[in-house]
Amino acid sequence: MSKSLDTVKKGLLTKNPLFCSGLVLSAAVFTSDNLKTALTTALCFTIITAFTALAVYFLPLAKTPYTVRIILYILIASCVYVPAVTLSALIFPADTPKIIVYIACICVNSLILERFDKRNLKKKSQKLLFIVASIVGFDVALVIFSIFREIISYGSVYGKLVGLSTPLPIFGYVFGGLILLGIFSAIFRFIIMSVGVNER
Amino acid sequence: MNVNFDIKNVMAFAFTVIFLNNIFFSGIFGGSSLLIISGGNTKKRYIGGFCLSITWIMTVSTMLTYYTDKILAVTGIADYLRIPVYAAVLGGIYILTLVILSGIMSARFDNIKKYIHTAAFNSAVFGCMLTAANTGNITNGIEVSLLTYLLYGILSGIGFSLAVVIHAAVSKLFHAEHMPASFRGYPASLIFLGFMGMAFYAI
Repeated sequence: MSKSLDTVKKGLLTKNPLFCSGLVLSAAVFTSDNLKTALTTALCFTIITAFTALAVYFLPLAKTPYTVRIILYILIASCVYVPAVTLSALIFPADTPKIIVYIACICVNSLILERFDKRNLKKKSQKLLFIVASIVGFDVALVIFSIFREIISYGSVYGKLVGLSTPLPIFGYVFGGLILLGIFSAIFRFIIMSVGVNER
Repeated sequence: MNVNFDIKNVMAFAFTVIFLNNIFFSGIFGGSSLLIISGGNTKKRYIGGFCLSITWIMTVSTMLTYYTDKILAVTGIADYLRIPVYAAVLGGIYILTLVILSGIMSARFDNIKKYIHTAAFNSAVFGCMLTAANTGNITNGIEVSLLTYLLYGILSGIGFSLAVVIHAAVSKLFHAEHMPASFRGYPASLIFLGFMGMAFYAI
């Protein structure tokens, strides 16, 4: 198996930021109670993290001390936040203001802090690939999780009723989201282990 | 949010911020950091150090939010500048914390250094700054005292530390052999924290 494919598999599956590693947990749990806010979060997260990753890729930061580097990551992300939120407000005008605090918290998300400095990935291109795979992995996981959570909690998808007769609104709360995410990540891990993808 | 500083009001405010509006259990801020610090094999004394660090960082950052909001209100473009300014403030506090710790704990500095960035750069601290700013809303012309900001920072830090300690106390059980493999570690932690959140909600 090529190293690139292995890196992609790690980012998407075995080290999925939401279902396996618990990264960007606050935004994911709070905003996944319906598909609209989850899509808003996914859009902002993708723009902020991808552009920060690109900037880091082109900046010569290899010899910069970690203390300075980490501050630079956060500053770059916070500068990307402004256009990301502006775009998000154009696409989702009603939902963006509701979760604006959580979108701002994406600037200090643990994916930026943890995965931009992977020491076992020496090549810059491998790091970038891993981050891109992690972003896609997070977005897909968040969308799937929010669809199920909205159906279970409110009996609807994207605000439209799908005819579920007994919704469980408890899962719409933050603590319900945590419990449901725990169950989802266990199911995800079970599937990963069953199909034979190595995971510790 | 402005607190009238007699003992009854301060106690009520403390109870609200630590239990009713706990920064982790009600807003889920800082979830990843909590799992990193209290979910693994971190030694107990480092967990204590982390709790102290995060309370210190939250207090200073929230206090500085008071001044930055006042300056931003004058600019007229506070909405665009707020997040980059907060990030810069957080960076400054991070460096200040490292400088102070390297001075007073030089022998152990290398061991504790790695926990400081987790304490400084997480959504709990950033969320605390933003919540204080949104509730205080100096930029919209509602005056809230510096002491209220300060108190909010300290109490939010204590609230988050409480969540860290609760999780750290039981997290070893989630890695036990008898736990089903699919639930071991992270999923079990999430379910536990969910039930704890439900208990806090019931208060």
